[in-house]
Amino acid sequence: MDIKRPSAHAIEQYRSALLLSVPALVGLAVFWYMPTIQAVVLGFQDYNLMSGSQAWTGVENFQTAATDPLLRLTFLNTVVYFLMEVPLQMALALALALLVRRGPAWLRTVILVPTVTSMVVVSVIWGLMYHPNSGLINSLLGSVGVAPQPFLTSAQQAMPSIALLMIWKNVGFSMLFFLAGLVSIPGNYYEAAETDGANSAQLFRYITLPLLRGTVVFLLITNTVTAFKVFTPIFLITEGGPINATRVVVLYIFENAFRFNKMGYAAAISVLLALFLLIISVYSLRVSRTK
Amino acid sequence: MNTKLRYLFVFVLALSVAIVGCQSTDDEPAPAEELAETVPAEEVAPAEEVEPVTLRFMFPEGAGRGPGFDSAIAAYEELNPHITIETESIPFGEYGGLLPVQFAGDSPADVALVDSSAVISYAYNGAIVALGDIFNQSDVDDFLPSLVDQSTYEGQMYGAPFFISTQGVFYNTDMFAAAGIDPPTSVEEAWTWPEFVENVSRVVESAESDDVWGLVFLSNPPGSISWSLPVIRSNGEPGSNTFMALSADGTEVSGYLDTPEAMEAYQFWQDLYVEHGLAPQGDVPDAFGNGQAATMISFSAWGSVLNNVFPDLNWDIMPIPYLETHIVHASHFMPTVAAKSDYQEEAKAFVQFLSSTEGFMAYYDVTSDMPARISLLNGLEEFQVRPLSIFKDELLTVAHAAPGGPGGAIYGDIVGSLLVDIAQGADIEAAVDAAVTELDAQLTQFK
Repeated sequence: MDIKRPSAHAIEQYRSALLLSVPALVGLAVFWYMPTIQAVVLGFQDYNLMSGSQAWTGVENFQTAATDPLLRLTFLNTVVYFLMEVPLQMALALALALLVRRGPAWLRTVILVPTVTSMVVVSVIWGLMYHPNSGLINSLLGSVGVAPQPFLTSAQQAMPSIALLMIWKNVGFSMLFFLAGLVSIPGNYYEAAETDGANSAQLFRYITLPLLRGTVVFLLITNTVTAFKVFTPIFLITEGGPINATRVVVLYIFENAFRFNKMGYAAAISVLLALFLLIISVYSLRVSRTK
Repeated sequence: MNTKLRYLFVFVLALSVAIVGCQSTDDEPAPAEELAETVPAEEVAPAEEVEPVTLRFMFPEGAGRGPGFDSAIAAYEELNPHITIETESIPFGEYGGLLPVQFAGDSPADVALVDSSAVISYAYNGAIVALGDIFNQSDVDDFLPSLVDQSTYEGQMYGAPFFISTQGVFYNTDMFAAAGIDPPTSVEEAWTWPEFVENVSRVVESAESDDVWGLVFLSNPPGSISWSLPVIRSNGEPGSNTFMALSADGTEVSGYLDTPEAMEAYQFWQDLYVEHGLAPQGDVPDAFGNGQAATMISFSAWGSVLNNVFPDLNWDIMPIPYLETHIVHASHFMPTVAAKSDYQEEAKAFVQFLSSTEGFMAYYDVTSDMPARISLLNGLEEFQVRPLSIFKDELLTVAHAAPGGPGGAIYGDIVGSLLVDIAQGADIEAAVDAAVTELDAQLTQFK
C-alpha cells in the first residue's frame, strides 16, 4: 500500500506546534496533573501536614468516609444547596437573556457586575446586609413592618440565604452563555414558525428550548460542578453554622486538612467528590447526546 | 523565526529555568541543626561579623499590640544589629483560622503567637519546637504557674510566657451614675450573672438613646472560648465536670459539656442575647467606645485603647460576673518558634528576649498588658491600684486555664462555634448534641 508521507514542511509545523505547546503542557503538569496525582496518593496515607510525617494506611481513609455521619450530612447539605441554587439560577439566567437580548447594552453590564466582582467582597457585603441587628435587608423589612429575620443565624434560613447570594452572583455568567446561544439560532426558523401561526409560547417551546440544549447541558455541568465546590461564602459568612446547617463538603475537606490535621482523610474525600462530579458530568453528556 | 532560532530560544529558556532552580537551592540557608553542629553556640562570632538574619513574627491584631511589639522589636534589634524582624499583623478574627494553615505551609513565620490553650496541640502535631533550654529555673519560677502548665508538653516548654489576660467588665460610669447603680469594686463583691442582667437592664432602660446595648465583647457573639466558656463553667462546683468542661486527659467532652448544669448555663447564655436582648448577635464596631454599649467584657490592655481612641469616655472596671462559682480564664497568646523555621536558634533568642523583664517592659511602655512574670505583676504600680488591680486580683484568686491538651485547638474551635450558635438562637439540645458528638469523635485521635 502506498502511504503518503507528510511533507517536510508539515513535519516542521507539527514540531513547532509541539515546541510552542511545551510551556502550557509544563504548566498543566505542574499545577494540575501533579497535584491531582498527589491528592490521590495522599488519600491512602495518614499525613500530618504540620510535622510532615507520612504513613501508608491503605484504604482506611476511604472506609472511614463510607461510615462518616458528618460527611453524609455535609454531602446532603451540598445537594440541598445545589437544588436551591442551580435550577433557579439557570431559569433566571434564561429569562434575563430573553429580556436583555434586544435591550440596552448597559442592562447586560449591570447584570454582569456581580459576576466579575470578587467572591470575598460579595461575601463580606452580603454578610453585612444580612446582619441580624443592623443589616440593610432587615432595615428594609422593618420599614414595612416585618420583624427582623435571622437570615444567617437560623438553621432553616441560612442555606437559602447563601443560595440567594450565589444566584445573584452567578446569574450573569449563565445569562451570557444563554445570550450567545440565542444569537446562534437562525432568525428564519422563527419567521417560518410565525408564518405557520405559532404563538410566543410555542416559539419558545419548540424552537428556542430545543436549540439551546447544548448551552443548557454545558451550563448544567459547569454550574453543578461549581455548586458542589461551594466554599468561600460559607467559610466567610457562616463557617458552616448554625448547627452544621451550611456545612458543605468542601468546607469539611478544609476543616479536616487544616483544623483537624487529617490531610490524608481530606484528600480521600476530595478524590471521592471528584469522582462523583466526573460521573455526573459524563452522565449528563451522554443523556444530552442520546436525546 | 527560523528553526534554529526557535530551538535556541527553547534551549535558553530551559537552561534559565535549570539555573534558577539550582541557584535557589544553593541560596537556601542551612538547617538550624547543621548550623548548630558546625558552629557551637559559645563560638558565635561578634555581631558585626554575623550573617544578617531576617525573622518573620506573626501575631493577631489587638489593643495596642502592634505598637507594643514594634517597641520591643526596636529594643531587640538595637542589641542585635544583624537581626531584622518583620512583623505580620493579622486581623484578630482571622488569626485562629490562618495559624494552622501557616504551620502547614513550607514557610511559616519563624515566631508566631499561639493561644495558650492551643500550644500543647501544636506541640503534639510537631508544628512548634520546645523552648525549654532558653529558660533557667529562676525564669520558670517567676512565670505564672498556669501559663507554664499550659505551655508544657512531655516535660518541655513550647510557648514562652509573655503576657497574661483575665477578663474584666468595662462599664460606662456616666450611664451607671444616671441609672443610680453602683457596680462592685472588688472581686469579693462581684455580681452574679442574674444580678448583672438585672442591673444592666436598668442602665439600658435609663439611657438617653434607645440604641444602647447592655453588653458587648471584642467580637459579637464572641467566637473564642476565652470569653464565653467561663459563663458555662461557672455554673458548676469547683472540680465538677461542668467546671472542668473537658476530661482530665483531654479526650472526652460527653458528661462534661452536656451536664444539666451546663445545659442550664447555655440557656442563660442564649437568654442574654435572645430573651433579654442585652447583647448584639452580630458585630457592632466600637459600640462601647461610641457610647452604644453600657458594658464591655475585655482584657486589661483595652483600657489604654479607650484612653487613646475615646478620650472623652468615662469608664471603670468591675469583676466578671458568675453563676455559681466565680471563674475567669487566665490565658493569652504565647510566642512560639515554628518547627519549619530556618532560623530556630535566632528565633528562640528573640522569644527569650520577649519573655525577659527587659523585653516585656519595652512592650509595656506602649501598651499595658499584664505581665506573665510574677515579679513584674507585683512590681508594676498600675496593677496595684484600681481599676487595673481588678485584673490582678482575679488572676490571683479566681483564674483558671481554659481547657486544652493535645486537642485544645479543635476543642476551642468547636466549643467556640457552639456558643456562637447558641447566642444566635440555635436549638440548645441539638447544638450541644452535635458539638459533643463531633468533639468526642475528633478527640479520640489523642487517646
